[in-house]
Order: sequence, then structure tokens, then C-alpha cells
Amino acid sequence: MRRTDVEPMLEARGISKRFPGVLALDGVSLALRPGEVHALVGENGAGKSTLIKVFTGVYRPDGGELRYRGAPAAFATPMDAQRAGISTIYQEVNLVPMMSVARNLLLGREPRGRLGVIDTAAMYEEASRVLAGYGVAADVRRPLRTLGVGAQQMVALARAVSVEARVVVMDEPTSSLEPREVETLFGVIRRLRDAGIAVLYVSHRLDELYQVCDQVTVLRDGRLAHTGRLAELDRLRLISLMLGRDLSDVRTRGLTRFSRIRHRPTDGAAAAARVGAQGLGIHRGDAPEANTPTPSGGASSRGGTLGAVDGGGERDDAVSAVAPARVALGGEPGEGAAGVSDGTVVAPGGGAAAARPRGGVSTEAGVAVASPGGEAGGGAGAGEHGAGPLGGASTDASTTGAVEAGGGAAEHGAVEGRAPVVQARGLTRRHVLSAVDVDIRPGEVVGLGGLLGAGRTETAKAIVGALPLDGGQVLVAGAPLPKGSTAAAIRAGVSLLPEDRKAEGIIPALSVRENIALAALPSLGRAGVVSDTKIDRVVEIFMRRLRIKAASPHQPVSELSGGNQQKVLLARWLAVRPRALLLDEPTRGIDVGAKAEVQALIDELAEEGLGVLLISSDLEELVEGADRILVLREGAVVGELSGDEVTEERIMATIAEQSDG
Amino acid sequence: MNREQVSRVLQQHGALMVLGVLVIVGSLAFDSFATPGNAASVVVSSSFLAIIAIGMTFVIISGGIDLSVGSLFVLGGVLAAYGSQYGLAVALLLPLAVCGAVGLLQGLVIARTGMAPFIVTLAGLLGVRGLMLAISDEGATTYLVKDPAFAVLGQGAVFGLSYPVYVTAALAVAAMVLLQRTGFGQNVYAVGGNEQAAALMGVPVARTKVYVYVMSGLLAGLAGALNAARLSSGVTILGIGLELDAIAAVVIGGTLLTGGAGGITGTVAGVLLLGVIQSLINQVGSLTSAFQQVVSGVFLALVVVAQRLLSKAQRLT
Repeated sequence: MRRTDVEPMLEARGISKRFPGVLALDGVSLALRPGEVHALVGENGAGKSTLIKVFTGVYRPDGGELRYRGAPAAFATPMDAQRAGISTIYQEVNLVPMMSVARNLLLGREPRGRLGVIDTAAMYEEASRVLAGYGVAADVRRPLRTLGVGAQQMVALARAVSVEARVVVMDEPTSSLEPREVETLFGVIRRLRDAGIAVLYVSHRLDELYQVCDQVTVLRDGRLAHTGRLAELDRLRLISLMLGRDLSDVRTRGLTRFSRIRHRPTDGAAAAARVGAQGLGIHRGDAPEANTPTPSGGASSRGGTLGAVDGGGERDDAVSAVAPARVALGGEPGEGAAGVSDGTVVAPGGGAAAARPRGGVSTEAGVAVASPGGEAGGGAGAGEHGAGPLGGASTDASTTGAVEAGGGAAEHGAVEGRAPVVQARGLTRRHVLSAVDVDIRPGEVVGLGGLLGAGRTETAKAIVGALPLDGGQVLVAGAPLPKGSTAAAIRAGVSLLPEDRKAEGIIPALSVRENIALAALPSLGRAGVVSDTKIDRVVEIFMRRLRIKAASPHQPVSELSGGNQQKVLLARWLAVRPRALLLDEPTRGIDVGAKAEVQALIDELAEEGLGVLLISSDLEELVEGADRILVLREGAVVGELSGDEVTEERIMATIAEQSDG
Repeated sequence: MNREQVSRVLQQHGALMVLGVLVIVGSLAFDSFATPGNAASVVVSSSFLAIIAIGMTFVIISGGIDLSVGSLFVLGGVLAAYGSQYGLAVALLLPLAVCGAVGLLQGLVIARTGMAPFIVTLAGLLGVRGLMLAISDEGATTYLVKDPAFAVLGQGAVFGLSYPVYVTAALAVAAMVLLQRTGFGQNVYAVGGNEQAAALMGVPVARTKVYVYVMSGLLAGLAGALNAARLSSGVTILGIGLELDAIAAVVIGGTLLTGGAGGITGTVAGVLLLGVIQSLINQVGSLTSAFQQVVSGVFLALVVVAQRLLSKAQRLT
């Protein structure tokens, strides 16, 4: 059945698709052969959905050729593709929820009786018979929406297949199915395969792929990363292909990077001194070491340089401000030394150096202990600006983060000694999350790892009450949050920076100023009347502190670059003085310079005592940014990595572990 | 029956049940309510609204709205009276042709440009009213029905019920079959239920929308013509605000204003319910007919709230 010499049913040859500013598909080839189930995998933004849409007539490719049944093909509309025999089952059920099951299934080809009128009895009978073949025993007269999502999905599948399909495209068909329904679905897929239909199967559940797929194509950043027999690819290799990390590379780099550096200081000053010394040692050390950036070295030089820039005051070109930091990461002697010197000056200066358990503490101390290390660049910079959570200066007493960082760190010595600011317990939602526990401590960056669809975004949304839950609760500073109220979460000091900033974040038509002030408005006035002066002050502080590049505060935020839009959003949430910030893919889709800045900001925020939950598909970012990583798979926490275990390899290995199903 | 089924039955047949209750209560409370004469008068006066509401049901199920039907009703009446001087055929076909054309135009604009039906048919309402005023010299000219054969259509009666009642009943049955048992009817539900999905399922979305507005225009014109036949003249002041009564009747009858669900039986029940409320208020005597609108309004609000709750109950199960 599975011969590669068989003529492909549907084939993409060097397909390219460009959207304004993005090359979504770059010369991708993929061949679907009859009687073969072909897995299509890749992370968000890899180009999967674009490719599917090219196959199904939603998009026309800009380059390359689409061939169907051996001849060039161009589908003008999804209907055209469907008529030609390419059926698609979408992740979201695309049927009419209020119509009956039978009418949905048979719409357009209802059995007719006398006078061409629909024979309802025959229609119900046929619908019941067809659905029984898919393991659905439901009253077909009922409105579709009264069925479970799984059964609805089966109706969609039955409809798609019954229209003489030669190719069936399934876009995450199991995301809302019960295990039993998944089995039924697989039965159907095997039946389709045996009937000589070509199936394109998109899913993030590795177990499923290995159960049902013959071939696999991996996309990454719009390019073909791999294509071939699935059986010849082990899980770890598949994941590394998806995430774009070369396995051997990760292994070696992972070892050099973390084996020596990552310490979890147990008590205050001594540990701080030790780490500080180590940080210094690395940069003093031989060239190879310096060329291999370490989390601690990276963090320290990054933070240090940023601090120095601030201290220098009025550099208005944000990108140039970052450039030295990136150079320092690469181990460039001059800048690197500068970064470290910041750290070493300050590290001995205070026990609070252990504010975070990570190697990066040397600089963190530099910022967090702004007053003792007053002469240091970072400290001076913070002091000069006088306010704002970023400065960490204790002049602004209302900035909880700063106060906690200064006082709390010294008292407790280490982050894990602190009471969590956010405790999520047993977050559960059918098909989405099962009993997820998350603790976020002040000053800690907790990373959420896992493949797309593993429940990372959903966890963050659940914590702020934006996802209806079947069970579980969230405690902020020990007090339970009311369910389903984002307003209450924000009042309690927990804010979410959503993944899709266009759809859920910025309000494009409003100005930078209005976008920043939006969430903080209630606190910026009296009796509901907002004070313009207060807003102006807050906006000015944040635009400067976050180095938001805009012509003026009144520029529409839509005119800003992606990175600056993201900073505007960060400013919006920082302006409400949160205790914990949940960041969902904070650096996706923004340019390299802005990315480094945002990453540095996250570091700084945590140093000041903010609890941070970091979601990132960029493993490197996750490993460098997070102190502790929870790995999610299919909505459940399957592993917690901390200390030495925080490596890309360990994350991938945890994801790849066989689940029990 | 479980809770979900109960709420579904309530949603579909609630108007009919309330209608039954009101008729029983009215019969017990007022001696003059449950008389054949009163019943006939309610049914006859409801029939014109019912014809319009049938068209409106299609429009609303398809996810649209048609505000032009009140104006078309009046225009249809004026055109029928005017046309009656040329005989029965012209008296009937002239209003149907013009009102159908207006519906076609509105449908094309809505389906092709994607403009909001509310705006397009609001323009229709104003434009048609202007047209009607132009024909009737700002309402100064009232055309009388010249053809006795045409007048019989509105005034003749069998078994105590005038012809328009039978026309309405026949139309209602035909509409029911059309909606439930033909491909077109299925398409109307699909377009209103989920337009995008309907398009992916192969439903001719644009064509379905155009048909629906043509039908609504035709039925409004027909109702206007029958009304002119009944009154023997094309009165220009009747029918202002009739589109809102039609919408109210459709919604009270259980059709969702958001589209995708509903039916003709509910609409007929909704029309009769409005008629019975009016009749009951007339029975009370001390209350003016203005009060009838207050009651209808309150009732409409209750129905909308109830529908909201009912559909929520169905979703939870």
C-alpha cells in the first residue's frame, strides 16, 4: 500500500506564499499519495495552516505549483477544491449548529420524495445509518449543537468523506475528542487509507501521529525541515526537527553551558559572592569560554549593559542601546567586561544578590540593590529616572515590585523561600487542561514548555480567569480569585500579556498614550474622572523606561513596529503595578533587537520581585529566561525542571516521553 | 422529556401555548370575546400582517432583516387601487412586480456588497415611502378600486371568513413546505445559522439571500393589494410601522433574530397573539388602543429574554 513510486494524488511543488512582511511558505514541497496517511507537523507560524489553505483553495500560492491527480491545479475557492474531491475537516467544526444533525450531514443531497420535496423519514434513516458507521448513535433529529463536540466532529468527518473525497485534510481533528472517539476516528482514517484516499493529518499529539501516520512532513519557519517515513524518525528527533534544535548541537552546548554554572545558592551573601566571582571568572577566562555564552554571563552582560545605558542617560536610539548587549553576549571583550564589572561592583554589596537563584544574579543585584550600589551604572540609571517598576528605585514606594525586591530578597535569601504570589491548583477543563498546578514566586520566572496545543496558553488564560474552568482555583497571595473574572485578577495584581497582540492586546486606532493608560485608568483618577496629568506622567515614565520608539505619545499604536507594540502592552500592564505578569510568547514576531530588549526587560522585572510566567516556543529563550520550567503535554504537567535540569534537551526529552495512552 | 427538550419545545411553541392560555382566559373573562364574530374579526385583521410576517420569517431565519415591508405594503395597496382601473390582472400584477423588484434590488445589494440588511432596507423603507407619496400627490390622491372583481378578492367571504384569510392560510402552508422540505429552505437555515460554514458546504449563499428579499417584497406587495381590495381604496396612511409589527410577530413566534432557527407556525401564532392582545384590550373598554402597543412591547421584551434563557439552557445540556 505504501509505495513511494505511486503517483501522488495531491502535490505541492516548491510552493511559496507571501503575506505583507512575511514569507509564510518558502519553496515547500509535499506529496500526498493515495492510501497513505501523511502527518504535517510544525510549531506555530511554521506555515502548516497556510499550506493547508493552499491545498484547499483558500489561498493561491505566489510561487511553485500545485498538482492534483497528475495535472496542474488551481482552486479558486474552497468549494472548487471540495468539488474536485479535496475535503477538509477543520479544527473548529464548520457546520450549522442550530440545524438538525441529519440536515447538516445531508445538506444539499437530501433524499427527495414525491414532487421533489425532501423525504424527511428517508433523510433521518439515511443519516442514522451513515453515522452508525462512525460510531455515533445520536438522535439525528436533534440540533447539531446538542451533540458533544466529538460527535459533531464525526458528523463533519462523515459529511466530508461522503462527498466522494479523494483527499481528506484533517486539521487537528482530535483536539476535542474523547479517547474512545479518537479510536473511532483512527478506525475511520484506516478505512479511508485502505480505500485509497490520501489523508493529510495535522496534529501535535505525537502518540497519535505514530499510531496512524505513514509519512511525515515537518515545517519550520515556512520551510521544509524534513519529509519521509514516520517510522524511521524517533520522537526526540521529530521534536528537535519541529523546534529547530539540532540534537547533537543541543547536547554539547547544553553540557558546556549548564554543568558548571547553574547553581542554586542556598544562603545569601556567600553564594552571591561565589556566583559573582564565577560570573567574572567566565569572562576573564580563556577565549572559548567567552565565546560560549552562558545564561549567567548572558544575563549579566545584558542587564549590565542596559543599566549602563540608562546610567548614561539620554540615548534615544533603542536598537543601538541593545546592540552592545548582543555583542557582549557573543563575548566581545570590551563590552563584556563592562557588563561584568557592573555585577562585581555590586554583588558583594548586598545579600540581596541572591534575589534569584540563577547564575545571572551578579547584575540582578546591580539593579535590585540600586541604592547600595549607587555608583554602579545600573543603579545610577534607575535612580535618575526616579520611578517606575523597571528602575527598581525605592523612591516610588507604590511600586510593589521594587519594594519586594529590595526588602524581600534580603530577608529570605532565596526565591524558593518566598510564599508564591500566584498559586494555581488543579486547573481543569475538559479536553484542555487536567489538574494543572502552577506556583509563581516573587522574583521568579516560571517557564511553560511543551508543544503547541499542550495547554500553555490555556494555563495562562485560566490563571487570569479568561478561560472557563471545570475545576481548580487560583490563589493570589493566599487569597482565592473569584472564578472567571479577569477584572478581579487584574485588581489582585495578575495580568496576562496575550499571545495574539493584534487580536487580544493593542487597540490599533488608539494612541500609544491611550493604549498604555487603558488598564490603569481606574487608578489614575478620582471618582471616575481621569487625571490627564497623571496619565501623561505615567505614559512618559514608561515610554522612557521601556524605550518605546514612537514619534509622540499621541501616535496611533498601529504605526509602531511589532516590538514597540509589545512594549506598549508591557507598559500597559506594568502601569497597573502587577505582582505577577503572565507573558504568552512575548517576543514572537518582533525583530531581533526588540526581542533582546524585551527579554532583558523580563529579566529586570523579575529582579525587581515581579513573578513572571513565561510561555515561549523558542526553547533557547525559555531556557535562558526561566528559573524553573513546567513541561506540559496534552493539558497536563508532565515534568518540572529546575536548576541543572533546565536545558533544551531535557525539555524535549520530557515532551517526548511516551504518554500512557 | 429532559430539560433540554422542554426548553426546545418552549422555544418553538411558546407563542402557541401563550395564545391558547390567552384565548381561554379571555373567553372566561369576557362574554363577548369568544364569539364567532370576534374570532373572525381577529383572524381577518391579522391576515395581512401574517402575509408580511411570513416573508419576514424567511428573511430573519437567513440572518437578515427587512424594514421596507411596511412601505411596500402601502405602495402595493396604492398600486393595486391604481391598477384596478385596467382590470383584475393589472391590479394584482402591478404591485407584485414593483414590490418584487424592490426586494430584488435590496437583495442584490445585500448579497453582493455585503452591506448590512438593516441599512439597505432602511433606505428601501424611506425610498419606497417617497415613491408612494409621489404617486399619490403627497397622500392627497386616494385611488379607489375600480374593478369589482378585484374588490371581491378582499371582501368576499366563505363560512364567515373573508378570502384573504384563506390566501394567508394557503401561503402559510406553502411557506412551511418551502422552508422545511426543500433545498431552498435548508439553505435559508444554513445561511442564517453559519454563513461561512454554509458556503463551505456548497450552499449558494448570495442567491439564497436574494431570493429571500424578493419573497419578502412580493408578499408585502400582495398583502397591500389584498388590503386595498378589502378597503376598496389605496389608503396611504396605513402601514406606517407595520414592518416593526411583523418583526415583533416573528420574534414572538420563536424565530431567533440572529438567524438560523425558527418557523412559520410560530410566526402565525405570533401574529394571532398580537391580534388577540389587541382584541382583549378592546374588550376591557376603559383602555385605549395605545395601551395595546405597551402590552405588545412588554410581551416582546419578555419573549426575547425568555429566548435568551432557553437557548442558554439548551447549550448547557
